[in-house]
Amino acid sequence: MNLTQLKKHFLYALLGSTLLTTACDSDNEDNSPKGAYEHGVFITNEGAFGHGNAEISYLLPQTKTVQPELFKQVNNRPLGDAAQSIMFVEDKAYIALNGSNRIEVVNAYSFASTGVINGLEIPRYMVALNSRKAYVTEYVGYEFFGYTGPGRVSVLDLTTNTVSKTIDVGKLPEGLLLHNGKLYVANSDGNTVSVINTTTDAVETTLTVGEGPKFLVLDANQKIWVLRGGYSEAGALVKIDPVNNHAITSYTLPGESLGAGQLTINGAKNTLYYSYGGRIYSMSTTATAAPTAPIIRRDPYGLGIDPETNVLYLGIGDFSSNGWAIRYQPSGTVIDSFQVRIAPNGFSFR
Amino acid sequence: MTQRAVFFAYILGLASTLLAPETYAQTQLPDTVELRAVTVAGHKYTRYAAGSRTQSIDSLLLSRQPGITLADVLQQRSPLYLKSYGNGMTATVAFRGTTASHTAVLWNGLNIALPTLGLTDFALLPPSAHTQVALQHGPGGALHGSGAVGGTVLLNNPVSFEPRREVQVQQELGSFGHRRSAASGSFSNGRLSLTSSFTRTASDNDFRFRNTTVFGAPRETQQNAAFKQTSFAQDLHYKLSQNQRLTVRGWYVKTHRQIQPSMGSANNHAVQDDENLRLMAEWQGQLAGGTTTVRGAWFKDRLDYAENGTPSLSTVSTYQSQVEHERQLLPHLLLQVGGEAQVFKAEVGGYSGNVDETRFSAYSWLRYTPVDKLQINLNVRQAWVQSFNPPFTPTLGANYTLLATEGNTLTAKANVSRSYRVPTLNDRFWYPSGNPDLKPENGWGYEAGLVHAFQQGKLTGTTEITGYRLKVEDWIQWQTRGAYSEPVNLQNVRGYGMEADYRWNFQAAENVLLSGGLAYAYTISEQKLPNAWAELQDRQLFYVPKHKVAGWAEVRYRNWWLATDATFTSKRYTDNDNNNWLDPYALINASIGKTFAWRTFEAQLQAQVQNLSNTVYQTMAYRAMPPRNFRISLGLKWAQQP
Repeated sequence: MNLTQLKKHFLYALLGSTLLTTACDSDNEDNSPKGAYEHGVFITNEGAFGHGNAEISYLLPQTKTVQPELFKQVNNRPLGDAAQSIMFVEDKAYIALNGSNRIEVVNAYSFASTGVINGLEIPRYMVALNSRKAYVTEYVGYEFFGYTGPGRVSVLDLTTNTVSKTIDVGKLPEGLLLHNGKLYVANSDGNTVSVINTTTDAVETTLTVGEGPKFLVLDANQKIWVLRGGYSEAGALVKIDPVNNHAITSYTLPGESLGAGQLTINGAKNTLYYSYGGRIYSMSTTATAAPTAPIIRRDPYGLGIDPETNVLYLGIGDFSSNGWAIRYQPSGTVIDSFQVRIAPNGFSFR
Repeated sequence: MTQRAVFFAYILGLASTLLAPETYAQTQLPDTVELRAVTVAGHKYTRYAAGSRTQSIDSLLLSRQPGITLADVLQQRSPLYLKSYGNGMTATVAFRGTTASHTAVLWNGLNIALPTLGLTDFALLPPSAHTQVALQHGPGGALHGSGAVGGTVLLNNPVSFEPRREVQVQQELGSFGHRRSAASGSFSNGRLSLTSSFTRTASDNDFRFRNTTVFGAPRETQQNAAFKQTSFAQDLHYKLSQNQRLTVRGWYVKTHRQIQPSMGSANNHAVQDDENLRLMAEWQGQLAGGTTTVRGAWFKDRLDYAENGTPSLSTVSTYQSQVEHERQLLPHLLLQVGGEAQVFKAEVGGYSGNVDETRFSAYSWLRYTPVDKLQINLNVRQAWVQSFNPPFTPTLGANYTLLATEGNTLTAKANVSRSYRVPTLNDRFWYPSGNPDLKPENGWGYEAGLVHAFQQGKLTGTTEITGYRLKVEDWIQWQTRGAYSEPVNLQNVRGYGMEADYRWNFQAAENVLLSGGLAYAYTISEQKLPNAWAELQDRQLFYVPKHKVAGWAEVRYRNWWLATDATFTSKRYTDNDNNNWLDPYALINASIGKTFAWRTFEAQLQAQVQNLSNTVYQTMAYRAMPPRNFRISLGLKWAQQP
């Protein structure tokens, strides 16, 4: 089986490099491939908590081929427990493992393991300021029956793979976004977004946005959008205007009050795609109200959009068997599907 | 994402276990200097288990090492696959390719599975030295009630009024901070019989292992895996009259465990405290030409789990009662009828409030022996559970002696049996993901086999071969729905397999006794799952090895003994889709001992090596198991049989 995988590996490498060469013809610099996995879709499979079966699947949309266990295939060991997210920074990829309390570091082109960042507590999502400095949200104080907090953002030194500073934020911080020298952190077990100055790495201000803010994206008009849920009030999309004293506009989501799902934005950064109440909706960033009709009646565990083609990727599955990455046209028409690994929760496009 | 919150309900409740079948007939040797054979009293169920496979487990281990857990006993003396989260950690057993939830565990006739999780942690069962352990392979809803889908483990403390006075103490020390102390006493004057047993076992479990799951594969010391366990058991039997008896039994086990993290996971300093108190009273009398038995029991099971200091608490009180009457209807027809009631009262942190559940069942067991060579059983049971309707479960089985000559007996057996399993309290009431609309699981099993027993001079032995087919419908599995997992009646599982068992005893010379056994199980247990092209394919259930072999041998010479056991377990998949698996492994243990005797006083010295070949293995993915390790023990016994 190893031999077969190895052969496949070379085949994909070959295919990948051919496509790459074609795609990069117009670039006159170095158009030789940097590795087998320079371009493609990286699917984060969370795995079953406590079972150490998180994985990254690699999908090459042009050939519709999937390498379901990329990390294990390249590194001959399991990735870890409960992969939450992946971040690419230049030639490195960082995978946050919330059940292992660490971030695995791999070469972004070959996916070979190059290091690890320890000393974290339930790391969730990451964002990089540059190739030397990044931030990660952590569920500090998260327990079975009560979130004691505080949540935390750790500052990562990517040159040494260490934590250089920690910043207390609200409870259960999830998504985070860098914009204009500021880091915005959604505190999902509260009603705030913490704003951190990336020069001082201190919380500068805290914005009240309503219950359960979870993910943030930036649109073409430099407005920040927050998807929030809530059990005591209806969820909403919240627009923050960073240049206008962080003025807030709320677009209430129809339906019962529920936790927020996923939020992403298309390549042109003018259409939001989000899940809420087990449905997927799209909304123009210039719309005056949130839509009432979903585009897809499906509850995704992960949601992504290819910035080039605007193809939607849904992660579907349970915690005990292989999940599926299902592709849809932005209109909501299904295209095809690929079997990946357990609980696909996110998609990264390179 | 909310995976963590349901993890506890989930991982223990459903991410279950497995185990292949097998057992032991018996080389029953007393642990005394004379090589005298002891016969084990027939289990009450064996009268009604024609056509099925019921075997006793060698009681030697328990009498040599009181306080070792049932997990250790089954590991060393049974070919069942034991899935363990680490040495001393949660350990579960399953029969015939089913899971831990499909294994009923009965203590003196009463089901002791934790109603919240619906399964029994075998690391929490340190039976006293006088406990007899038997296994029944295959479904047995009519005999054993809910949960006897794959098989049943029977623990019994038999009644004996044989006059005796006996005191025994033992101390054992071993690698990684292992220590075990045991003390027991037994008394009977023919009318009153008392047995007390105390044990305490602890280990630091700080062994070294290579962590192949992390960057650089460093050698590490196992963290957060220490445990200590104390148990106390008391039996009291009193003859009220020549034909009436009263029995009271108590069994208290208190266990404190750090929870060993998996190799790739962070050490979250999890600890689990279990306290299991089981009390029962039994009255038996000869009434109206039959035997009537009345039992009442109260169990209190506390399971407190804490991670990084934050607790999850659960306490369940269980009240059980049984009334049984057995009588010889006709010279060839034996009948037992009975009824039982169970009430569970659960206070569980993960539920939205306290939960009560009541269950009843009525049963009738019939044994018909028209001729000596033929025994036929027809057993039925109907259960009623608050807001559920478990199916009617019949069993029909027969034994037929094909051949009986001097020294050889060949018996054919066959059995058809139905089983059911009521969803656990966690399945139904876990907040917010419990599903009160679940249906009970139900299954059918069909089996047939041959048993050959022989005796030739000083060589005796038995060989048993069984083939079976098994199916379970409405198998409960937890699935994600949005941010939560919830249990649903999802799978249908089908399996088949073969079990072979061979054991022998050879009195080579007046003071040399050789004994040994070999057991093998071939297990296929499958569900249909989509492959990468979305086509349904048969997939072996996770943690079900196709092949499992267990062998053991012992030599006794004068007052010395040398014993060894070895097991081989084939590859086990660790997920439903068969993406990943654990490699096959072989495990060898050995021990040597000597008994010194002076009149009524006896001392026993024993040394053991576990994992002799220093095998690196896992029975549960990424849970490191100890390397080669050593134990030494000294026991003292005073016995007077007036």
